[in-house]
Amino acid sequence: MAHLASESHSPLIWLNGAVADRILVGGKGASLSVLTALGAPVPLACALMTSAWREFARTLGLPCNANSVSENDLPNIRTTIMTAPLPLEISSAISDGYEIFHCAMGNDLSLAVRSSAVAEDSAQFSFAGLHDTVLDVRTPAALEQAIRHCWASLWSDRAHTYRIANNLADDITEIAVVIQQLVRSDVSFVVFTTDPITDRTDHLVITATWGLGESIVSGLTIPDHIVVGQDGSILDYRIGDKHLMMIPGNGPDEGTRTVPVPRVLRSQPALSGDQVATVTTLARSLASRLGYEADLEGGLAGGSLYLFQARPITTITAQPSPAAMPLDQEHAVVPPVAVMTHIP
Amino acid sequence: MVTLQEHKTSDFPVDWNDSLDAGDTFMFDAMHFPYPESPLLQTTMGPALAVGFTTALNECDLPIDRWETCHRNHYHFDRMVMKQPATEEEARLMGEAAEAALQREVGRMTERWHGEHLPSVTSHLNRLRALDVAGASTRELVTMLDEVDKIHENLWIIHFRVVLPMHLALQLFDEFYADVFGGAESDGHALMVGTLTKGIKAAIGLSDLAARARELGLEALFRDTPADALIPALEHSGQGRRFLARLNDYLEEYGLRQELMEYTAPTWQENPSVALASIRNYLLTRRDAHAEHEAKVTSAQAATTAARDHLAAYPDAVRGQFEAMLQFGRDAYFLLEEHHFYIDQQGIALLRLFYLKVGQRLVDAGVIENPDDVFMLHIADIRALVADTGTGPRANDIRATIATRRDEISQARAMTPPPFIGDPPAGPPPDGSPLERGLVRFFGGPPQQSDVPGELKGTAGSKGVATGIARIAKTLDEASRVEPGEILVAVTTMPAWTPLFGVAAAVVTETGGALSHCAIVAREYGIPAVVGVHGAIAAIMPGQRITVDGGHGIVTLDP
Repeated sequence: MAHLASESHSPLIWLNGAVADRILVGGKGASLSVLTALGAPVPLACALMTSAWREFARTLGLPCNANSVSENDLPNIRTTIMTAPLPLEISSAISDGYEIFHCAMGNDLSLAVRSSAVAEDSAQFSFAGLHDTVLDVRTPAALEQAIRHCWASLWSDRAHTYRIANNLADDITEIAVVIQQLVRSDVSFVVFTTDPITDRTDHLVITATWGLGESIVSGLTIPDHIVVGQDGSILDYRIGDKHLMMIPGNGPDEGTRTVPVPRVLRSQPALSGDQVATVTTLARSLASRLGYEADLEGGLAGGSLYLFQARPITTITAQPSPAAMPLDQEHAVVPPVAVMTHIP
Repeated sequence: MVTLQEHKTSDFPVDWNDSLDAGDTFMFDAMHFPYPESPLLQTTMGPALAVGFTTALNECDLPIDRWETCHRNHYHFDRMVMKQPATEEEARLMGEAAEAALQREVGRMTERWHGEHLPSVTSHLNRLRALDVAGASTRELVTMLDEVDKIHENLWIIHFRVVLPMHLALQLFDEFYADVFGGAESDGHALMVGTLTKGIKAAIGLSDLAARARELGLEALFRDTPADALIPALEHSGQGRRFLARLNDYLEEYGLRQELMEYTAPTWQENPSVALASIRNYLLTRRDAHAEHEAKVTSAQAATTAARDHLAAYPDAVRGQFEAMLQFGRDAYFLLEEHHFYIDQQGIALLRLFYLKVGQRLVDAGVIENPDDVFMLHIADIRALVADTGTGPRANDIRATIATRRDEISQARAMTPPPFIGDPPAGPPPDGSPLERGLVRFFGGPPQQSDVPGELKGTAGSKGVATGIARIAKTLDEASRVEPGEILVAVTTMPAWTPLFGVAAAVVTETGGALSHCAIVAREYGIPAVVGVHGAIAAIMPGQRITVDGGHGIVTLDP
């Protein structure tokens, strides 16, 4: 078989400047491709396309929508997905992709593997948090497992229930998988270009915390809550009690860890005033070019800013907003300077 | 208001007949002032300490109005008088101001020491050395006494300007280390041992003198001569005199130290027997303080590398904070010995020597019998005697007063002071801020009781387990008789005791906490220590075999 021929049909596509279709790469993949097309600082990423899933599901005879599936079938479907052999074309695409990451990142290679369903992150339905993400993936074997995990999450109990409840049972359930360089964020943030609680379009809201961003999304910690006005001024800066953080593992087999934040840093602001300004400018510029109010996830690592995801803000109530978390902390409009870290 | 309060310990009567109210609580600080103090120390250091501590506390905006000392039965007691904020908001603002001021001071404590404090202390000490007491006129001597009071006060102001941020720095490092790495708060000190402090330099100097004695062929003489006969024996030979010349050089630099913060204790320059006992130990055990220090430096480097590796995956704010905290911790280790060397040791030693010269003037004037009688006088007595205005006490009265006070102090030595006098403390010491937690860990917590017979509980001071014969020591002279492998048991250990930590197999003290000088020095020397074991001296028999578990704070007595 000619290697080049299989290359041209590879189910793996790099997200590096061209807009990719949601049907091919799922919601997350599509919005990432748009971000790269807009020149946003997105870490190296590729997508294992829906075609790979379709091929895998076809060879195994898996159902193509939720209509004919009962809840009792779900465990079997998931076991099959986790264990059945992969078609050669798919497994070689995965290992080729791994090699590219390895060349780019060397021994520091660490990947975030995220499900990217076609239906999710659309303007109507967020599917937020319904499909799985596997972080800190370092070996080819772990990458293959993570991809299976994402596929299997298409048939998680929660995703199935969500589909039935939202009358999406007839839709073809397809999923792509986004594989992205895991940036070891020093600070992670989520930006809403419009305040999802008050619906004030002139307010931008940033939530930020130490370490990887999953601790914000999962509600592990109470992040800082920053409201920025139209003119870029900080209207409110509530320091959260960031008592836990998520960090990458120590070795290839360890995976991410949740560790306590040292006391002196818990009540320090995660983002400086300058960093808030940078994040705000980038988020507002992207939102105007995307043409919708956006919810952006990103991080700061080694002084550089990265964006990992963008999606439209769907509905005010459906969005599990960090702003809804209890904020009983003392708050200050201007955060205290992190004195102890900046001794001359 | 006149009330008489008898504390439970009936041998310690407390008469509240002066300015103190019944509602007052004064604490006994046995770690620093374990024994009855000479009246001159009470009336000079007492007020100087109060001004010094109060000034430093107020400069850091701490919500403390003042710090006061008082004496009962010649023992030193002290208390903090807190400010009373009118509202919760005011209390919060006070707390924030104090935190900001203290953090600022931590950030510049080393810079201030080198640029400001040390030059100032050195100039004060040089002035004390230079004062010509013998040649001064009466009027000049009166002025001189005032000047010395001012110097004394300034020394303590500087002292507390150093120690407040220093204690905070240690506590911040310890809390940070425990938060990130888990384990006990003092575990992070493994990264800070090996700091080349004055205490280590003093020990290395003794070790070098031992090496010099060996080179000069004096090993047998040291081994076979009782400590108190060593100097005459050394003066007997050319080699011995060459050694003594080197010893004098050493004492010139390190000999202004005493076993206690007390004028009556001779300096090593006056009586080098403790130094000689240490040299003897280095000589006979063939220990090398250089090598021991190098080993500590290496182990601290390894521990630091391991800690940095562990933090590699952490956010940069944590790594940056770690480096800053580690530097603060190491700076604090340095300042701990440095300030003590210049202020607590040289300052008090030079004050002793100054007042001895004043005593000589009074002897020459026929007022007192011996120069050291001066320590039994209040500073006000001395002023009156020196000025000789006719209103002062007469010579006969003075001699009677001196005899009475010597008797009182000798009787007081047999007393057991209670942990406090006056009303019981309102509650445990506050621990809401890092500085308060640090001070609790410096002074030690409340007494701990063990349920196990034959077991005493204290605070874990330095990890490790050792078994040996107990050497009970109330004085440095007694402590200097500790033989290799024996366990030193003391009320407290002053920095002048440091060289003995190289000899003892372990240390037990009745006072102090995990950040006390004793615990820190024990970690430096790598020997187990349990500190703050209340009643240890009464419970442990001299010569009894005991086991010290420094990691768990437990002392087990052999039946």
